[in-house]
Amino acid sequence: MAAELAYSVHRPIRRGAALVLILAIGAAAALLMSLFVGSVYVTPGAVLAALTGHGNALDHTLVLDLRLPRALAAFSTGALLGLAGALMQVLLRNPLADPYVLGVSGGAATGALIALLAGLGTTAATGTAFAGALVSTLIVFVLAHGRGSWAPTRLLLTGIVMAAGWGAVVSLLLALSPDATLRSMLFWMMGDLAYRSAWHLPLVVMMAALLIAMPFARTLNVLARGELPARALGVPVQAVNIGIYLLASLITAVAVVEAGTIGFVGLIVPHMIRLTGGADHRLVLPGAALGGGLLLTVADMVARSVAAPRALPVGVITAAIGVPLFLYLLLRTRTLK
Amino acid sequence: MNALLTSRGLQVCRGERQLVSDFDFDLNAGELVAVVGPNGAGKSSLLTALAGLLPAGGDIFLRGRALGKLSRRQIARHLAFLAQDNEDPYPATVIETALIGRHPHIDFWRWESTADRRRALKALRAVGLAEAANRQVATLSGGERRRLAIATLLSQAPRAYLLDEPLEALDLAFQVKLLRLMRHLAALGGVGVMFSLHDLSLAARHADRVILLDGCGGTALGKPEAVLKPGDLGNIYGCAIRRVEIEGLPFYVAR
Repeated sequence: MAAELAYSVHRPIRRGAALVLILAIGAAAALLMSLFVGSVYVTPGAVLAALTGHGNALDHTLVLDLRLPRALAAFSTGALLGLAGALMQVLLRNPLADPYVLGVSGGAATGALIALLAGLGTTAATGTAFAGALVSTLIVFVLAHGRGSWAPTRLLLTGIVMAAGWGAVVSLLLALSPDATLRSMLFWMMGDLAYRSAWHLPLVVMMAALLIAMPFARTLNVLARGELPARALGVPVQAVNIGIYLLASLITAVAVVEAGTIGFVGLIVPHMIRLTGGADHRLVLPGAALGGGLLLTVADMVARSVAAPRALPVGVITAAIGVPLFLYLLLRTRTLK
Repeated sequence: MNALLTSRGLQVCRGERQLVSDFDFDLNAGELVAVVGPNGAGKSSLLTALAGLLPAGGDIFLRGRALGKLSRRQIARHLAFLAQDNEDPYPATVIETALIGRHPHIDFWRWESTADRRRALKALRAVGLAEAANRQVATLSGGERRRLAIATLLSQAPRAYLLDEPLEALDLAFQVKLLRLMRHLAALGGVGVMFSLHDLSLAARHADRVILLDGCGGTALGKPEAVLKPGDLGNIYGCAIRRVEIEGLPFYVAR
């Protein structure tokens, strides 16, 4: 069995590196495939023609104006959620943490619903959702940080209580809203890439966040061992905690504004990477980003084509793919031991 | 100043309770110092404070430099601290965990080198876990995890070791083996070890000096036979304690 092989200092087992490579290839393939697949099938030749600026106007519109932006939006949103989940799980030292656990999505939903209720339209809702996410982030930060020490449990409880509070506000807004706006509100809440804003923002934010987080990946490995051991090993825990919190909250806010609250991706993708490639965050961070992107790209592709012309909520598909896959990985590692 | 770690007028409090007051101490290279005292007397607090991980009054110097003026990273290159319990919520292999100890020595932008991995493997060998290098930490027993935590400190290669209950969860053979390992480290030169424990007999037999905490701020510091007097111990622990000798070795027994 591989796990029993003697350890070599010259060739440490780099299973994780292979995993990241496979995920990168998979993500590229999924992005490419999403250009062909949809309510209408476009032939490879037509896709190529559209990409190189030839081909007919309909294919051009379909591939370049509709599918490519949507696929990129799905990929970068999934990557943001995977990355945010991995960061939150280290910050809170809690495997159950996901990007939404500290109430960022609740704040965003409240902001968006207020705009929709006021009849301001979806563009304004994007802005108010982002504002709501930031307000929620700041409230949790100030409340949890108030007394200096910043135990993960305290942060977690503050976030969960805030999330519950936002949930009540959301219910109130839904109860007050007239039937005409209720449907668009519910769709916003379910998470759907059809209402995305621009694909540039999540893509740029995702790459910037990964560039910022990667140099700290080894520090995250140490922090995952617990606060006291991390400090004893030279990690400025307080500063790193604040940095992770703000980064994770910001990228979650961008993801929520882009696609609403999409469940499962941020929770299970980082664990999938840990279960298959090991817990080294130098591999978990890029792995979670690529894995999240891959999962959401595939899920969105399925969501808009499987019951075409009807589009299913993408959250249903991420759960349908993610839950059995995750349970399989979990069971497989148990039998290995 | 030759001491590795120095405290002058150290004050350690937990909540309202003063656990250590006006404590002057030098941890020298080559020596093993045991910290003993009843539950809650402040053994952990004293070690945590000396490691700079708990706010405390007075002055602490690491190799002559004020602890407060050093970054955590600079401290970690010379001083290692073993916490009483480790949490490991995420899967990791044994060697990955031991390599964590190299963190303060590796530049921000670099990855572990072959030399780092060799050091971590050597540390695992010292605690008898080299064969388990590729195993998941979750599959280890409590005692093996404790040994892994000690291996992580060994790969950190500090000058001063502050160990909070290192013998906890270890079987009898490994308790003695670890004490011998500590003695070996100290004898190699440049290393001083401070460790807390409950077993007064082991403290008396293996430590060069003993710190006895009475839990009310009082500290006794000196050679084991001078500090561990049955009468004083009886007052502090609140029960009669006898000292007996078997084959010339001291044993402490509560009655």
